[in-house]
Amino acid sequence: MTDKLKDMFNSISLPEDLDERIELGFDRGRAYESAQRRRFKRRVVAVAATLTLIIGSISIIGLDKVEAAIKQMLQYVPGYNVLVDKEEGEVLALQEPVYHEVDGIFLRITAASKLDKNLTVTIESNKNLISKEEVLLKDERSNILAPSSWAVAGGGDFWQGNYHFEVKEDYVDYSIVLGNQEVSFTLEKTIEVDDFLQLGPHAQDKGISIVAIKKPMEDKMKISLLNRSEGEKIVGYPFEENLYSSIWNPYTKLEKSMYLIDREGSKTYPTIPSSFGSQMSDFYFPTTDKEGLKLVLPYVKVNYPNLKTEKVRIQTPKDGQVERINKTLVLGNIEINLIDIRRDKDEIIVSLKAVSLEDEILDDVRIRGISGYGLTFNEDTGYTELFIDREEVGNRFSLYFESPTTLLLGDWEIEFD
Amino acid sequence: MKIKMSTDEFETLFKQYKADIYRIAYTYVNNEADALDVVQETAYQAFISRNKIRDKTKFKSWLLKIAVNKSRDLLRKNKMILFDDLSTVRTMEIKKDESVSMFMDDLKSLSLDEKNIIVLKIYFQYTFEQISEELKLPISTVKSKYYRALEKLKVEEGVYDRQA
Repeated sequence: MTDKLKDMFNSISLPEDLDERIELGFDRGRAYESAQRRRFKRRVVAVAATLTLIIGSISIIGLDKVEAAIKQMLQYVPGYNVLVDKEEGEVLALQEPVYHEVDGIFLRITAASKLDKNLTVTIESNKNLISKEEVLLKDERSNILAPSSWAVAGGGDFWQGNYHFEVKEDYVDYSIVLGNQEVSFTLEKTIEVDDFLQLGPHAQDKGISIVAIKKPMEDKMKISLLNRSEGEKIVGYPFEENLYSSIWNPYTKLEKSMYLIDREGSKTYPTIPSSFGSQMSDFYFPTTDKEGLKLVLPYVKVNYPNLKTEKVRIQTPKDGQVERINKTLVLGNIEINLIDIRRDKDEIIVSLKAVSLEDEILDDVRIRGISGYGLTFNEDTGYTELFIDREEVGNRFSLYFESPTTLLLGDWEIEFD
Repeated sequence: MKIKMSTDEFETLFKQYKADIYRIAYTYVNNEADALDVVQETAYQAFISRNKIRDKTKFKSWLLKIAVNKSRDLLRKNKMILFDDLSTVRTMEIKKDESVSMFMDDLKSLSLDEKNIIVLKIYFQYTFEQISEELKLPISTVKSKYYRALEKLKVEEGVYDRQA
């Protein structure tokens, strides 16, 4: 019977691009290892619109550093070329998006920004990246530069990347070179405003201000969101697919996405955002502009990078044994209870229970002391289960948690008229 | 003791099991595009973890376990995904033998438990007892779910009987 079943499974045909996708996975692994070896520069600035929500792979080299720097240093609105914080110097931004196509292969420059000698360019293309051709920058004097860091997201026939270059001179005209394509673009000075809230309609709650800039398009509405906070680091807006809270709090009732609501009470939810996960995020709503529209954000995602629990030393149980831990670890407003640990052959399972506040729910947390693990919610026990390979931890190991990301519920309703 | 495995050696070994990885992924996610995503994720995860392998004889089961975990991750993630225009970019366009196509359709009817059991049975050669331990299910439940899965896949009825 098993042989027959196996034979049936073997009848599932293998797709032509199987090898290609394996190579993409390896490439991403190589990029990760290379990034681990690389020393990041602390002062990396200027990022343009970022698309990270594409099904497929995400290879990241230095993106988090770039975003962190941006969050601390400036408030730049891509597409509007508005800059709020001008203390850090003159910021240049892409004058207008550029599209170039040869034999069905397109290359689109969607955003660019430059502060001092740091230039970041966001491009989209369907060119096969497996060929390992580099994205290069050419300046006005035909000097060619390779990127010092980059982040690529995408899969299949579409990808988008942010490329950071350290330029030598202050030019405004550059070209991106990819294979046999060379696409020119021009930078211009950004508009500056003194007060963040001057940018547009806004809402304030719990020390967090959110500004929404509305831009009606042909058949949809683009809304760019900007925020400022007194303490927490805002890392995301309400958009359902970016949630992990179901692993920690599966039964929490929550409106998972922001929405536009009109005077008749009809709600419209956003489709794919063009940028996501930072302070400058664009969202597209499949609706036309009308009077009385209101944007409702049921929560924002905030991160506490400096919060860390104490370390707990745990003895690895013998196969089949369950040991109680009964330890509560505190992470700001969140508590994580370590219930017990059990071993099933080569797998160690730690049962956890996150206790959140009514208006602040744990979404994600970094688990330290172990390098590889899996997390899932066990509906039978009501606990979140942390899976670790026995080989990973030996006979004893330490476990602690840091940098929690939470969903902070609040009253952010922004009226446009 | 950890084994130092060269990149070339790792990649060669990985590719030996690519068909199993893809088919496991397909069993869980039931479409080519997602299964390829799982394969790519598995390649990435295995690549960066390759130096943690201590016993080469366990390479295959280690690799397939990553594929299973990545498949489950994707299923979990897909529950929360709103947009469909990117996830449905590619569908099966290759014309298949009708019986194969029926089999692939029937795979969709399996519950997650049934998929787990079938994968452990076929690709990990687990006994019912081992599956019971792995999934924390009573043996009787494992057996009944297994036979129900076979029924759904119409193995006994010989619907897919064909030359191997």
